Amino acid sequence: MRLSAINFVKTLKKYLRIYRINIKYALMVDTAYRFSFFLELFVEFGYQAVLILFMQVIFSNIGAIAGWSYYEILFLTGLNILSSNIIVGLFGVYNLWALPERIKNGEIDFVLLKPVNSLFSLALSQPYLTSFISSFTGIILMVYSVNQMHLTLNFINILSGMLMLGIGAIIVFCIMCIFGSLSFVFLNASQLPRLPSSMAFQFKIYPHQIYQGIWKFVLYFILPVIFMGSIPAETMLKGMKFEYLLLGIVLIIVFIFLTFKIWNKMIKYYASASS
Amino acid sequence: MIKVTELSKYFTTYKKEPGLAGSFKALFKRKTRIIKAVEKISFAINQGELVGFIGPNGAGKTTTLKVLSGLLHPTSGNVNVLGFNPFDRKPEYLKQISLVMGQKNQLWWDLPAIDTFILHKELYEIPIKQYKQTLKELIDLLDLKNIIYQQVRKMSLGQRMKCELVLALLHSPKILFLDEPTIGLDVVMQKRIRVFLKEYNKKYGATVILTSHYMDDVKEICQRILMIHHGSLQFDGRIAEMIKKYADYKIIIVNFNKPVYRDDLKKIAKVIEFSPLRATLFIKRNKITYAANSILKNFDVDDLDINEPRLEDITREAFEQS
Repeated sequence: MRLSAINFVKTLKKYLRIYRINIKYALMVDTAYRFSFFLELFVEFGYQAVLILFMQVIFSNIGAIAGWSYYEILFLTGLNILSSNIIVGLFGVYNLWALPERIKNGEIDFVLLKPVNSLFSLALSQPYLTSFISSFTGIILMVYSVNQMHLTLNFINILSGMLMLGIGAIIVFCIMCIFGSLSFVFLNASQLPRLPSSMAFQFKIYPHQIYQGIWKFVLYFILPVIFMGSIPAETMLKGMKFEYLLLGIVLIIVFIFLTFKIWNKMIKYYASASS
Repeated sequence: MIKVTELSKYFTTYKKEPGLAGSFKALFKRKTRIIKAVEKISFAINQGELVGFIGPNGAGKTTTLKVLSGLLHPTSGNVNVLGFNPFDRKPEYLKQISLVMGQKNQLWWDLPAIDTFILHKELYEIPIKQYKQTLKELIDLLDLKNIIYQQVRKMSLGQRMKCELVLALLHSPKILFLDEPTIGLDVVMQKRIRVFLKEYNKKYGATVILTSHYMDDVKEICQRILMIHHGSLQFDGRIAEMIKKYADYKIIIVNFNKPVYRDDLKKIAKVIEFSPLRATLFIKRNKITYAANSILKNFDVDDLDINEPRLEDITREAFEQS
């Protein structure tokens, strides 16, 4: 037992070292192409402006959504910008979104022959750094709306909110991996891994209380993207609810299990490409 | 060390009629076709052997190599490499092998080669002392010195291939799989790579398995040849044995003083190349004396050469026979 714990720490350290090197190299490559770097940043900020404007338009018509006031929604929007950038930067652009193209071109031959877990090397290992920078707008927006509400956030609540956000990130990552792994079977399915992230972007911007009936079931149990949106926002503002923590932990266990099962099964279909 | 029994690998593809209309039709109704890339191949390879896979395009060489390295899941049959099932891709297995593909590169394109080497060190958990020593040896052997600090996209093809080799060998693999390692390189660089591979095998006892179109690669590097055609193994043995088996003829090259007719030569031997003043002929070994005699008697010969056939010709002959 102790030995496997030591091994686990050793392996974790190895992956962190590799990840650190990848971040360094990504920085070196990205800054080498300065113009496209700024262009990407510009596009990111454009998206965010649209999102904030959208919320303002809604609130110019109504006073509150499902019990959330204007500044609470603004706080949620800030958190959504942050969480979307986690999806895009850590899991999306160079990882799962790029997977179908890399599979089709037979580019992943070398990746699969490295003594590193394929889930890590194909789904997580290449960060997209522009997202780190553009997630700052989200944090600024969160701080601004908290100030406007004359609130002081409890430190424990912030930590619990971040924990919920972490749980949400892992769940969304798992869903993206499950969809992404299908591209080992269906070549040319370049839009497939984008589906779960697009759904996450759509569904997590609203407070989870607005969903009723079948949608409530879907967003709590099947596609629990609310764990990257209103649940952590609510936790930071009002404190942790234990039923959410419990649900989050159960979901994480189930989704991680499913992800490994499905990924390992699908990767058997990888057929490489002509030399 | 490597044992392959009755290995088969099939791919399923879809038959599609040409053009846009065909593509639409294929959306709803498509005919599947099974391609038998490799069909019931069996062989064994010992440690330290230098083995070459030869065969025409699409024969199944690369597929076999990919199955051996663990990239492809065999359709049927047994594959055992170093006591592992390659397709499990266990880290303990992957740390003992390396794959180099002449047409693909795994170095970071925008960074100097040395940066990819450093990442490789972490991926394979190579101790720092061993890493430094191996790197130094490889750089000396391949004469690379300052080139590894250059951005990969600014390297020549030859320099890049050398760096790819360094990368592949940094973790001192026991087995090295090479898929057309000299493709696209000039003659001098090809030679350099060949010499290196032989030296490396001699010095470290690593098993080298390669596929190539260039007969010189195979002739100079490999002790043993596995010839694959239409997915099945046609020949397994030494080069000399292959010559004996498939080349029961020699080649006569004749230069004439006066133009001759092709038909007149045909009566004596099989004509491969012909111009009125020069001809290349295939002749069975037991008829050499007779043929040479009658050429000298019937034509005005300037010069006559009797040669062993080239390896290219032998393999072509072998494929035609099968």
